[in-house]
Amino acid sequence: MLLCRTTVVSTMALLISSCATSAQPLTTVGQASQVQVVKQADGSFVLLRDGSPYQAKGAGTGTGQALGGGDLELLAASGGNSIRTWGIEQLEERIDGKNLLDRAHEAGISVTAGFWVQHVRHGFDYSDTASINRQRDRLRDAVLKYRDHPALLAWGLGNEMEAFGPGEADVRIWKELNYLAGIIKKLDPNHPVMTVLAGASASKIAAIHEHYPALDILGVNAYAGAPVVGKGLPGMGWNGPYMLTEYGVTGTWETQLTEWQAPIESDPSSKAAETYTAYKMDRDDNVGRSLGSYVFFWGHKQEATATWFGMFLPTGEKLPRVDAMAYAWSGKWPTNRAPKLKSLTTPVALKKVPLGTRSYAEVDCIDREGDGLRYVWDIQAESTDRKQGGDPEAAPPSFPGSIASGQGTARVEFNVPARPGAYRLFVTVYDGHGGAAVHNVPFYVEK
Amino acid sequence: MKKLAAVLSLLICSSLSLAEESTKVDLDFGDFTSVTLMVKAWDALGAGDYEDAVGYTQKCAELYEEKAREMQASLQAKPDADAVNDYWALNDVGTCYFIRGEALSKLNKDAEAIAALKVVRDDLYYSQAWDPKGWHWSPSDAAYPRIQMLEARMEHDF
Repeated sequence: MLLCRTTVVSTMALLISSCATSAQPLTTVGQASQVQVVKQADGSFVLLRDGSPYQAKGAGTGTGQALGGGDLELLAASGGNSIRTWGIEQLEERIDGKNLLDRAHEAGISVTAGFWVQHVRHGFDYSDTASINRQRDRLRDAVLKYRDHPALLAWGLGNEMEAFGPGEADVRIWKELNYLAGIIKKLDPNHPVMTVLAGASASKIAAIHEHYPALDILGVNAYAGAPVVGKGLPGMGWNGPYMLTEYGVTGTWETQLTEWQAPIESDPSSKAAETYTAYKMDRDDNVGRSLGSYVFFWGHKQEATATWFGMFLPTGEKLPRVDAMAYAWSGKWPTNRAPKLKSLTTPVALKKVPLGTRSYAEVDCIDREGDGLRYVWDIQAESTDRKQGGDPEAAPPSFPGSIASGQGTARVEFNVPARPGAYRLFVTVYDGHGGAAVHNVPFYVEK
Repeated sequence: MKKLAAVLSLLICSSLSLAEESTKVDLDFGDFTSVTLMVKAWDALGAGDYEDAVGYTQKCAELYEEKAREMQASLQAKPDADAVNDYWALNDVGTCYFIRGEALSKLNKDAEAIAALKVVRDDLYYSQAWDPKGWHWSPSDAAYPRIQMLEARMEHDF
């Protein structure tokens, strides 16, 4: 049940990322930041940014068209102070002519800059010297280009590169990480190196101790187990500093399945509560070892469903998990809350129904500020483009014509699609002021 | 006297509600083994039949909780993979309490869900559940953050 989610990010984009960087230093306003991990007399750890203690209250984000994130102003207004990226090309994504680092700096947000260390499962060969050298060259270029940017907090060297495929047993990966970290440290002694794992285990940590001593901060991605992963690290042999680098809701691979193996997505309020709890438990239970965390995902992303991990709709509306993080980070709820979806009821929920079934669904949703609510219903096929490690997935087809009556209201009648198979009924509720709530239930149409 | 009447009325109410609960759904308990009840509870949870899931877990606890607690008391640590199946009652009842917590939370009975999850977290913490993907997991470890989440959900307006 527990533990590791897998990755994010457009693999193809990362594979071609070498074209995106050159060794020209980035011209920015402000001075380069100086960040260090310091072990204190009592054995605890603190991240010092320009001499002051700094705890990352962050979110993983991507501003690419497919990911839609990047509302950094809202992140800052919510009490967040940092973002994490996965691939170095993300730093060049521009909005209003400004790249991500500059936009973050303007918003008062730091950046853990991800450098994508290639995965074996994507075809990278750690015995191919030419490929290894190209990866090293790309890293050198990136460090030289971005090391002096004042928004830079740390280097995120690799994400879940040990998972899947040959994985953690392949010592060449750990040794290469150590070599790459050495490159960073030589070129940029002012920013620590963090490497992110797909969940923690004693064997991974043993491999790091043996082959990767240059690591400064351990990053761990975890989902159902996120609230307790930090607490478990000492028992696995890691007593050093760490960050919870992806967390939020129980993963699609960890959750209850329907009879036809469709993961059941939690309701938006439960997802908000789960995200809040993961943050709070990790922070409170690991003082002196946790240097911060990054919630997943400040944007939108198709992964099993369009709404599982994303904290925003593709049209930009925030979902209740954004408000939950604002409360977690700042102790205050935002002035305008996303609507609260109290229940979604339909007789077909989690059931197999015959072809030709006509049914109904109703949603009970409130808006705390009394905003008028707009309801949009949709039926979508169950995703068949399921990938590992957060690799990009195609959205399944939708069947809006199935909604027979009531579209736009809190109660609809619908006809199940004419082809047997697995589907989901979605409802999205908009408050008209930048907030929304969305929920879905799977059902299956039988011959 | 008033106090006694109140207590009596509470007892009557609670026995009525238990009677209602047992007659509300006519569940098929199969061969009444702990594993059957546990699997039926999982299936009911996956089908959205949350009352049924609670019913199966209730029956499992009624029949096997004593044995489960006995097994728990005999252990000093979580059994390893070779021995895990020897502790069948502990595993099935512990898993049932986890399922019960999940089902009750879906029914928005958060306080009851927390109570169920606390049994596995605090009392049956060496129970293990089999994941068909090929490994055992700990319902107790899984219950811990669920309890925290449900407590947060009760305390704050998410």
